Amino acid sequence: MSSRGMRARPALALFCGLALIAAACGGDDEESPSTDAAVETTAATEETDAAPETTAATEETDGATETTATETTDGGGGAEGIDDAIHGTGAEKFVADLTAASASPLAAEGEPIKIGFQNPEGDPNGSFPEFSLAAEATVEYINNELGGLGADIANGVPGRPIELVVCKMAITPDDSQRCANELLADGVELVFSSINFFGNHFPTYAAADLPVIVITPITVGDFTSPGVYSIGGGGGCLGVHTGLVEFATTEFGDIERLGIPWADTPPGVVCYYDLEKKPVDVLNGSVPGDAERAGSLPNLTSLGVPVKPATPDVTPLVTEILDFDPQVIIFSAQGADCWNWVDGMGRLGWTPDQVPLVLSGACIDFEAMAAAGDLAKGIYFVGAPGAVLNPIDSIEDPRDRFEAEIYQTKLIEYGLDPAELNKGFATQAATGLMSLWSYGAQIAADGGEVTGAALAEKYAASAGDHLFGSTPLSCSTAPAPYVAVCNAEVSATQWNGEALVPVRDRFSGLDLVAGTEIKPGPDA
Amino acid sequence: MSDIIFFLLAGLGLGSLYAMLGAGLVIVYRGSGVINFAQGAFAMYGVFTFDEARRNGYLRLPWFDFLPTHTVNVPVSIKLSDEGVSTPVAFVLAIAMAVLIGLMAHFLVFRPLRSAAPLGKVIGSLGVMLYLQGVAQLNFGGTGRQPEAITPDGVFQNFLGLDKAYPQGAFWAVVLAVVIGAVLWLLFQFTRFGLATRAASSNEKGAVLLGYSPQLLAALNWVIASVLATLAAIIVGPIGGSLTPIGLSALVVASLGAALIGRLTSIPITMAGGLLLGAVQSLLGFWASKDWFPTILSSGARDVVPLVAIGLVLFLRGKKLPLRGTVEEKRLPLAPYPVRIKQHMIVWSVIVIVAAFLFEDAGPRSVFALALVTSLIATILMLSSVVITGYIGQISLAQLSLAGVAAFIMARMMADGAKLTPDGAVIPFPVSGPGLPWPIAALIGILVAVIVGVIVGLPAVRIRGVQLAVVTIAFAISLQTLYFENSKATGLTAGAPANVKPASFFGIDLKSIGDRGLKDRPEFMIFVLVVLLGAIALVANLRRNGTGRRFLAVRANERAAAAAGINVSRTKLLAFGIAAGIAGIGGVMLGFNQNDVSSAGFVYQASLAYLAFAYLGGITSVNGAIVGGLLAPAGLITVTGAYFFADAEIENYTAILGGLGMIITAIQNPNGIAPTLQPLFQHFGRWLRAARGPEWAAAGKRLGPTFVVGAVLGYLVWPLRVETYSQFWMPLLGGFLALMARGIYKQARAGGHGAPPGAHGAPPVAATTSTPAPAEVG
Repeated sequence: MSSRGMRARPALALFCGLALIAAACGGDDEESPSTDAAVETTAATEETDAAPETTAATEETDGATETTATETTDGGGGAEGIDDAIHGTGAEKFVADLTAASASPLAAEGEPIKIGFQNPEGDPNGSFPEFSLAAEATVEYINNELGGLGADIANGVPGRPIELVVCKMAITPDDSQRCANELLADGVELVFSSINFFGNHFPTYAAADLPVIVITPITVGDFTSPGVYSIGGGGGCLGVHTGLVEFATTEFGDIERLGIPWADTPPGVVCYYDLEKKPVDVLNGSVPGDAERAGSLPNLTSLGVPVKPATPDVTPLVTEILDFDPQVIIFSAQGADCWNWVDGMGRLGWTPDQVPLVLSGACIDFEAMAAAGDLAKGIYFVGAPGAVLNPIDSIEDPRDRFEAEIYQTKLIEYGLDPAELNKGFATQAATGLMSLWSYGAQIAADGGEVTGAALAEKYAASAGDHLFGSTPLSCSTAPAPYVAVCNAEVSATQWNGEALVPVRDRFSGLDLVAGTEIKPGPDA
Repeated sequence: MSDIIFFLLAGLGLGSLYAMLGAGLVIVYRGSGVINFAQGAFAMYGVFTFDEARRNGYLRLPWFDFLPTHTVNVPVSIKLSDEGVSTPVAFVLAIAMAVLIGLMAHFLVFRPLRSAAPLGKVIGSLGVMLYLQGVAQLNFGGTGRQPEAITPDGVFQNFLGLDKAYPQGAFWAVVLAVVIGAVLWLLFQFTRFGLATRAASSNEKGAVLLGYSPQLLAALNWVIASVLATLAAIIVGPIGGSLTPIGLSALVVASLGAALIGRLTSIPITMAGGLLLGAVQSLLGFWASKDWFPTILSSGARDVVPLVAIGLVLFLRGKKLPLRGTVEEKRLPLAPYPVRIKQHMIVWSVIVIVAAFLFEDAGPRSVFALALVTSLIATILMLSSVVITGYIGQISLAQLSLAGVAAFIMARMMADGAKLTPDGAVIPFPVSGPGLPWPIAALIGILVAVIVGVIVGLPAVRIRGVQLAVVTIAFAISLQTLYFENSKATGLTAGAPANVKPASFFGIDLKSIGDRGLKDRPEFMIFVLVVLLGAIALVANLRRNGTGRRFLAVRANERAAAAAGINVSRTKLLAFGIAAGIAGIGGVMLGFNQNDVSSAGFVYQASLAYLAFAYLGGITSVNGAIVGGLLAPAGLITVTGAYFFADAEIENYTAILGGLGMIITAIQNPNGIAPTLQPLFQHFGRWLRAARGPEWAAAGKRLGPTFVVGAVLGYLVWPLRVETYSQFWMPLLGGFLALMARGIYKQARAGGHGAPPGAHGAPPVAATTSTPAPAEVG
């Protein structure tokens, strides 16, 4: 019998895990992941394993590639319509390279470069296989078509293949450290940490000078640890929470009452008080700040109501918020909690037409949105991810359209189950690996050697760099103490029942906390 | 005032779920004497069955495909429709599934455990919970489900003139809960079945003499409880939004509060208690956001309500709470008398020290260093369970929480408010503290754990058995909510962990992380080893001295012990203090190993897992704690499995296998693994010392075929399920497993499941005599 079956059951993991499971959009597949499905997955893996035998894979790929290239041309002709100033530095070259690779795939060569991937899988308290499945499919795509790490697509010079070393962990602090130790012992050059509720793996990596890319930042360690680069869209609460306040107080006129249910978790407390309540106080002038809009809404008031993750019945909390008669409600939480909240508001007769609701990008869950029906129509989202999941025909921006096509076709080709493809976490994993490829190509173009340290330098120096399927990466401009946050720009979209319609592109609410003291709690 | 009334009413929807689950707990307890920790899991599987059939047209069966082949598989689902079945059909399927689960729980788990010690039943119900969670994850996926409501889901505007909207779903949930409660009350009050159940609950032997079958009654009660849980989740679940396997299972804690308010006997009072808990939780949630509410309580106020109810009811009415009678109740296994401790400590120390240097800087094999350290620390924690449960018979589900108290206090005592790390990195949320050196900080931490442990033990003066288990779990949750997760109390802002400075000893650096980042420092492993040896010596000597004998006397029979002049209350509190001290030592070492402490590391569910590991290993012996430590999460056995069979995807089945392991151990081998394996090792050791050429040849002839069969199976069976495997290790492992199975089989045939003599139903160990209990070697 394996002892791994008897995992400890951390409550933080329990609550956050449950909430985040739903964030993975994984819901109610037509074919739930039964054992049979697992067997199918194994079969899919077999196919994937065969992919490096490039002839067959390339033939299949070519067929799909033509379609992609054609569609891309129709949509704007490869890099046409792509503007580095709009889409981030390097966007034009990125799209051009991928277009070229689609026409003539370039397989990686040489000794593989080991990249670690630490991911919670298999534990009933929280299992997110879509992270690693999407990462593996992306790696296959990179190795088979994009020439691997350090490739020069334009000149047909291949780079080194990526060897992704996945460490599956249970939701326990001991297992988090075990994985860090195992990846370190395995000699990886850089680590991706998908989502981690403990943050106790960072000291191990830090002692080895091993850079860590955090895909979905949630703990305070994800935001503040040196040597860590949190590339998740919106940069966690730093970008998203301030962005929510910015959007709510500019999109709907001079509002006076803002309802703020907030996630009552240890990091959620500081995220609310420092990055939602404080910006409101800056805007109404009760807290001094350097923001351009400081004091511009003197009548602005807010009501914050703490919402514990996985609260079994939110009716009393919703009642409290609605009693406040808010003109706008903002809520940033993880997956399931967002839709519990929406459901709870719906049960009390609320509709998005009555009071606008603005949710964080982490709430985007296409299945949950479809299930919510009319209740979800008109809800706004502030964050970064989501565009690559939209129906391709509904996307107007050429870069978004191109990347959505790549994501929705290539990952399927390389073995990702369609059910996993539509999960938000899967898109974030693909974003992370594609950023690695992009920086590898830049290092090679500069004549450098692609190593973990060199890649980390690229991340550290990023400033408005293009990021596949997300808002631009800017690790170098991260403000203290949130030094690990690389992606604090957000965009706003609105769900129309079928797709996310862009409402506002690339903005930031960081200015609202400029020149203020950190306020981590109610009495701070 | 209208706000207060409204928010009390607003909590009744959730309260109705507590009420119905609580009623199920009462029914099961009266029917079979089990506190069913899996009641929430029953509800989860039922409502998921309903939702899956309705949404996708599948009936997912409560088991998994365990055959290691691709071609022949155990059916795990039945396709009923492409579009999903109608609501009535889905409802019937869910109820049928509830009946099946209730029957399976009774006949496969709790009937075999009918005369087990209370701890065995607790482990059995935890095993069922874990099993159902694991199967649900495989069959339904781990993501949340939002089942459609079967009750009207409109809104009552201006409800009762309170100027607020009230969801109709909550209203109907309350109405249906009251109706169901009334039906159950009538069933148990006025029918022959109810009368018989109550008779069996009061006096099972008497019920037998009257011609009733307690087991048939128990089976029917399990079915009723299971169906009730499913009904509760289907009716009330939708108002909870997205439902998850873990979230629904966790509702059992609040439901326990309701059941205890009903004294585990009264369904109407339990129903009222559940509704009351929901209402008060709702009101406290409303008040918690007010400025006047104490901020130190604002975060966990809602969660603490059921716990306060549990604590108050058990403490104030503990001795009046009825303990259900059984025809026969077995005792815990005997606590073996430790012999030759020193010799075995020396041998094992040498092995660990050799391993410490062997795994340092050993490439991929370095992972075993951390795994060994993790196991050693887990062993310390499990030794605390050996004392409190194995020696004195008190079921504590709070040992890891006590470890957390020591770790948090130590970290806080070490903290000095520094804003920079020794490396010059900025600490974004510095932790204030006196900056004491590690030995003093650790000692203070352990002392505080001892004090808290004694407080946790106070209810044990009045209650015992499963009821004590419930109160300790309430304490564990309280510690988690009010202390570990409370930044006001811990001084930890935003969930930032408190750093633990590395220990040092006469200039020797005892930090856990090496210069290359790996946790493979021999110095730290030896540090842990020394501490563990101290704890082992303490526990072994405790078993051998007068204090330990008093513990065993209390465990055997409290009245007899009191008659023999033992102060039972003081003895229990002493045991709680000692056990808490050992747990505190474990917590301190966890802090040194992990380099920081945070609330996520000491949650109450982890205490359950540690108790389960200790039970699997053998909760009455030092050896059992060692085996339990090896089995612990991220321990040596886990890491060894992951190292050799990385692609086996065992993690998808671990919850199921873990649950099954707990159930099978509780039923078949309550002594645990260590006492079962000990005779085998002893026999092997004696044989090794005596064996010469002919003996080796004879052994080869006798055991060779078994080994070869195991090796061939290991080679052939495994790759049928997974594509990659270790061609060398799998046959070897198969061979040894076959030998082990053969040995256990032989032993079982010879000595009744390999249990030490007198383990089941044997006379208790006398308190004041040195009764020759089974010896524990090492």
